[in-house]
Amino acid sequence: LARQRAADVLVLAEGQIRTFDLLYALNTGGAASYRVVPLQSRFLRVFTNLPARVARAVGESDRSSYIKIDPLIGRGFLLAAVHLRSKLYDSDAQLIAARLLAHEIQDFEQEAGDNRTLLVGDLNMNPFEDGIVGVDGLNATMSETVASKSHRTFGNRDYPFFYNPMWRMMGDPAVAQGSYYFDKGHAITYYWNTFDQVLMRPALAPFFDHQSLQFCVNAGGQSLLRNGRIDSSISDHLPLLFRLNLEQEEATK
Amino acid sequence: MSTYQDLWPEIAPPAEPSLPLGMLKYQAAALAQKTNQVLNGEVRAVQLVGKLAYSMDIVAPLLSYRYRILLISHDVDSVYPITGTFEQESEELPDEASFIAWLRGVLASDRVNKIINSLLASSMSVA
Repeated sequence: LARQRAADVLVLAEGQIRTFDLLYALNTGGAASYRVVPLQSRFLRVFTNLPARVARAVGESDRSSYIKIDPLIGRGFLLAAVHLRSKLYDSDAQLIAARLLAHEIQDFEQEAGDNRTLLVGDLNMNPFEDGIVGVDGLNATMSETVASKSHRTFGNRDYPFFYNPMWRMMGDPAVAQGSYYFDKGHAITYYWNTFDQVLMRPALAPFFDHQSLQFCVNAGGQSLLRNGRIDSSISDHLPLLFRLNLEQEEATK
Repeated sequence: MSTYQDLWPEIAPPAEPSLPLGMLKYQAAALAQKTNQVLNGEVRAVQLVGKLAYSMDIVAPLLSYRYRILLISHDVDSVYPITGTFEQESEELPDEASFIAWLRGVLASDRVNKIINSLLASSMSVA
């Protein structure tokens, strides 16, 4: 799938396949250009075909890894790859985890003196849940117009916005209606959940290719769905694919 | 009143880049290709007084490990002779042909082969 879609960066959460085998699978028969970004994380692995001077790890914590991308064309940005804890075990902790993540990202941004952050990963929350939309959580809004105001003031403090383009992916009948299917007979059941998300600071939103945003339902000619649900024998989540047109920013200078 | 002026003569760019450094970088990239990026090579400049010196390491990213396999150096004003150092033994290499023969020998040596096999096997056992 990565080679077929010519992905520059591949973020994997909860993968069972050994990194060694993934490198061989990614590189065999191709230009052998995918390398692993050295991380200590137990939850995330990041592969890229970008040179080491263009994509480099700059920090990580338990469930998040930070990679600075400085493309040859266009301005750079901070990629925050995230795998937040599951609500199956401790749903109360999710809001706290989102709050800690938001603060951690702001610390990175302050240190770098730049707020161009793209957050991607398995957030284990839907776009409408408190940890995602809450002002002291990720403060992510569905509206690019609202996000373009850069921050909102709550109490006497400013909280920076994320723009969340994932809202339109929820329930899209054309493909999958989310990235994760769950039906265990709970009183409130969404069936399809949009746990896998990409969020971005408003400075990056103009370069986000909305048409490219999709949950992949096929990989290498094989369907990732079975009987209208995710085929968990392959993966229990659907891959999220999107493109950021940073060269467009350079062209408009 | 005196004025500043450029006292340098004309400086023409060289016809081609230095072969030894380029050759080391090529081998470093070739190792990554041959091992599907499980291992890669890294060439770094090394500080030696009056010399230009470069090392080549084998890097195993999955193990956060690097092993220095060789060092070359030459006078700052002349590419040859090169001093090649491998396994604490240094050899003087008077020209391009002898440098390439020496480098081929180092990369094909039992020692380097064992290191590569060991690093590949250890990388395979990483989750």
